[in-house]
Amino acid sequence: MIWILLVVFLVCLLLRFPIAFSLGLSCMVFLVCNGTDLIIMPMKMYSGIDVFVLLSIPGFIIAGNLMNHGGLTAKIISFCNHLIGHIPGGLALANIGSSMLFAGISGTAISDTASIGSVMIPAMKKEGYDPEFACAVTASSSTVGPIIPPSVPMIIAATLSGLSVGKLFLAGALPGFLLGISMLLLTYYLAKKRNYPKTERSSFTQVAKGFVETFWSLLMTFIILFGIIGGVFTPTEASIIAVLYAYLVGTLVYKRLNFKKTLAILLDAMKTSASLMVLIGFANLFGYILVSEQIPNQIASSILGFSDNKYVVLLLINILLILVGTFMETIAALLILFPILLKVAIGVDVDPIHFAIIALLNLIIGLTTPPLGVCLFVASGIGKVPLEKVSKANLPFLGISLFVLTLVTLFPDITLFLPRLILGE
Amino acid sequence: MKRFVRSLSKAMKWGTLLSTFLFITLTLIQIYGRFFMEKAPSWTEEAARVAFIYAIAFAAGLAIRGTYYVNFGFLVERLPERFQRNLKLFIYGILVVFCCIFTFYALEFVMMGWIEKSPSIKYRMAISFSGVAIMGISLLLQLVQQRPKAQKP
Repeated sequence: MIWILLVVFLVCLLLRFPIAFSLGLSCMVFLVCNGTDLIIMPMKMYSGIDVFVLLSIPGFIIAGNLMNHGGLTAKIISFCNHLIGHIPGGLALANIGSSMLFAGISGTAISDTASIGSVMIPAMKKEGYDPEFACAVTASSSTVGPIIPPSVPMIIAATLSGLSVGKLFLAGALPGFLLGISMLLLTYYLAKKRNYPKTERSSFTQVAKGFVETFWSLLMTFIILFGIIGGVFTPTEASIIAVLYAYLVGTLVYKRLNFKKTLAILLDAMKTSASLMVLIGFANLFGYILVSEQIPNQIASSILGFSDNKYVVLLLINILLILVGTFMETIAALLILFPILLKVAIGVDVDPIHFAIIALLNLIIGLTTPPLGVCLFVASGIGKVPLEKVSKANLPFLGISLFVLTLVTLFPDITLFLPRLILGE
Repeated sequence: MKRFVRSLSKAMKWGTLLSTFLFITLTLIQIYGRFFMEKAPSWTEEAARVAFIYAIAFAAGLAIRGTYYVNFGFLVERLPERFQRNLKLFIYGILVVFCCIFTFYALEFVMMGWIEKSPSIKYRMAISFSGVAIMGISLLLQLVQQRPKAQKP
């Protein structure tokens, strides 16, 4: 019977139904065929979204949007340009640096591509960079965002598995920085080789001024992280403090927000959050059906039947997740597959926190994997460059991302070092 | 009828904003309670969750406009335009039926909530469950407003 669920889901996806409704429709068809009372649909939708930690998702989205509309993106870019713009390929390096800094505020890759790309891609094109390279750098560097905390997918992974949000945030920090620094090194190498331009060295005063301008927004990341990790706030409380802080900085310091603009930002952020929550609610029902049909157990025993070697199992999971990440939106894929694969990983003694970061890295890399990587689409749209060209230019960055993924998979300490150091076992 | 649907959409917009303000305020009260009072009020978390569900319920329909619900369009985009138009109508029809069925069962779910009471505030759970019914209605309403126009032959 379970094939009905999967076939209807895939057909709906291919026919361009929104992913959330593809999940809902496939569940409804399955339940009708199975003779189950459809009241289970609103019940599971309710239990899926009635979780206090999920309140942090609109919180972080509102805070990120308030900061962005408060003029933060331009200030971060300007600061990074003052700091590293004088190195060959300076603007491309500043693009990656901005993504690493902006990561702490927005928490999603697509919003990073859109907000940083809209400023950086035209600027890089104007400076004489290859347009496809400008798009590829922007798309790839934005994938650092959901790995460096705070991260919306990490909150969802924690909700699904009962893992600590604080531990996951800490666990993502080193892999995120490793990914960002690898991209900086690759860009420097390519810039030298292709003779990309550099900007004039900024004076110390300009760098200091840039730092002061971005200081208030960077302080928000600090408050969120240390508030959660230090046990001062729960993730939900930290996100609401971030909203209040972003509003105060946007109105009193940057003076770019007014009441009307704030209402529009709130409404937009809540629409984004609602689309995610509808997805989470229907995925909860989808997951319930899979569990009641014992699908996770069957998948776990087939993978473990193939091999019980930890590294072979992780390799298989990596391949599966990258393929899925290429075709499916990160959060939808996380909701459907993470609980199932976590069970398999725990079965071969992989630490759940380590596995959560591996899964997330895989799905995020999928965002820049041709032919369907969403970030590539967004960047090629902004740069008005054909997707094929951007995909080709992105290959070195994809290679470096896969290299970092391999390191994170093989060496759990990259992930677990910070949580162990700060929070203990 | 058009005017009625438009007024309801406006009400949903304000419903989203008010519920959002409410859950932000309630969470702030919780933080304040923990730092500046002897004990954080126990009802704030429960009340914030209800406000959040209502905010999501109102906004779910509003999100139909724009590109908030992600889909996966690479295959369909390669098909003839006429087919795409017909497919759009088909998807629209299926979604309307789906939302009608969902809303019907959501209302039944609300009825079940009349006998249950919440753990800390002791309000009827139907109040909280209503969020799911509002979500169904909100989706349905926006779908009605956003109906694609049939192409003239």
